[in-house]
Amino acid sequence: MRKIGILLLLLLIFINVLYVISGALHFSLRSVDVYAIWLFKAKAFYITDGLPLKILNDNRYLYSHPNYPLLLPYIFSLIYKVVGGAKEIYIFLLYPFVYTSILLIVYKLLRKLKIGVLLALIFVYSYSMSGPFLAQGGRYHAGTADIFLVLLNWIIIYFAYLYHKKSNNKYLLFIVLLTAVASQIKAEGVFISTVLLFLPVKRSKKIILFTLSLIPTLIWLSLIKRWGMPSDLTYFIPSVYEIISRSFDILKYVAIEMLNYKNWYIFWPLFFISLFITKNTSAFFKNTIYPSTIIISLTFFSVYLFTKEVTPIEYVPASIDRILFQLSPLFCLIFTLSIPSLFISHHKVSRHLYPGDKELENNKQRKLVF
Amino acid sequence: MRLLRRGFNVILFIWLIVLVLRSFVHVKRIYIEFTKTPLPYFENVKACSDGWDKNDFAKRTYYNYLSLGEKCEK
Repeated sequence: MRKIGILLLLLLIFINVLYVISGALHFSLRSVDVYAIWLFKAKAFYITDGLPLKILNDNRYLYSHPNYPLLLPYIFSLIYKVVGGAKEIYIFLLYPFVYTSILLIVYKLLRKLKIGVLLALIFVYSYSMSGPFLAQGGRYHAGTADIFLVLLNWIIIYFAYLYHKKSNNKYLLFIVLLTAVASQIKAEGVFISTVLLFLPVKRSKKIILFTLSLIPTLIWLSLIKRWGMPSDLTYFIPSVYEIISRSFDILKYVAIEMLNYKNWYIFWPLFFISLFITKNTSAFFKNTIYPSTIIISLTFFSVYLFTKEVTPIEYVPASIDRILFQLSPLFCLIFTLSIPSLFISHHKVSRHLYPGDKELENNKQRKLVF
Repeated sequence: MRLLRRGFNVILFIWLIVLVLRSFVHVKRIYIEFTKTPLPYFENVKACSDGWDKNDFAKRTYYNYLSLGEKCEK
């Protein structure tokens, strides 16, 4: 019965992979962000054969957010060079590959966290079904940047867990490196560096690593100032009344998105209920994942609160699905890891943290399904 | 609390069933998409062409994307 369940889940996950491949092949160039920002800049890099400063500084193309980091369009332009033309299909086919890679990393992380094969596959399948993930994997949104951030965030969390387990410095360096890359894909990618602040490392080392992870962002900010690139968003300090009214608007639209069953089904209501009825005693979660999630969420909240040009009424509904998707590695992991405690008693929770734990101890030559 | 946990597990199970049903929709869509030729998103927007509504933001940016690098005679 267990084997049938595993095979069925693998089949369902495979259907989703096919689904995103089909989307990438048949619904390309459907998202305005793709042809207005990411592939637009990639094409600009390709046709100018260098940094397209003239195009980026052109007021006609202000909608392309010239001050966004350029790493991803640059990588896309390299693909164009390899294939000998601005053939978007090669870019779009990358997205199902990234989608599958994320699923593999999630599965591997869950197995490291000693979740059983069947339960891990159920979570991977549920995650693979979420609307924004399918969209970014190839259904209409292939060509955007968020899925790459999600991939990096999952890998960073994976390395953070390995550091907790083995205290090997190489994992810290990987986290710094990946955070630096994430910050150059999208500006908010740098927020994941918060994880570094909550790892069990000496304070001086922590500060050095955190500062190192911020360097690419600081370099990029100085470059856009030097090149005189127009900035589309600036920040201000609102009045107390405005802070209250803006906060209310932000929370309202975040709640509306969380109840959007087409994107998230009933994930968010279940997530909040699970916080009350389950206990997660793992040090990794208590000391690293929970505080990082709170700090990163508050940082996004502050961005919405202090942005001058657009009010939260316009800004939040237009972007919150992507932000929640970017944060999904943290929230989904908290949810996923709280579920096993529902099935076993607290005595067992403390002895064998998760259901697959005992099985793993007995079976040293464990075989991963993937 | 026990009742709440049991209810939570039931909802989780129902959610999983809904997801599996949703996968059937995906199979149907995959079949349709691989057997029918989809129409272009903005059929009338082409690089260097003027026959479309320039006030539409999506169409204008799409046109700019297509025309980038094209030498259009005006």
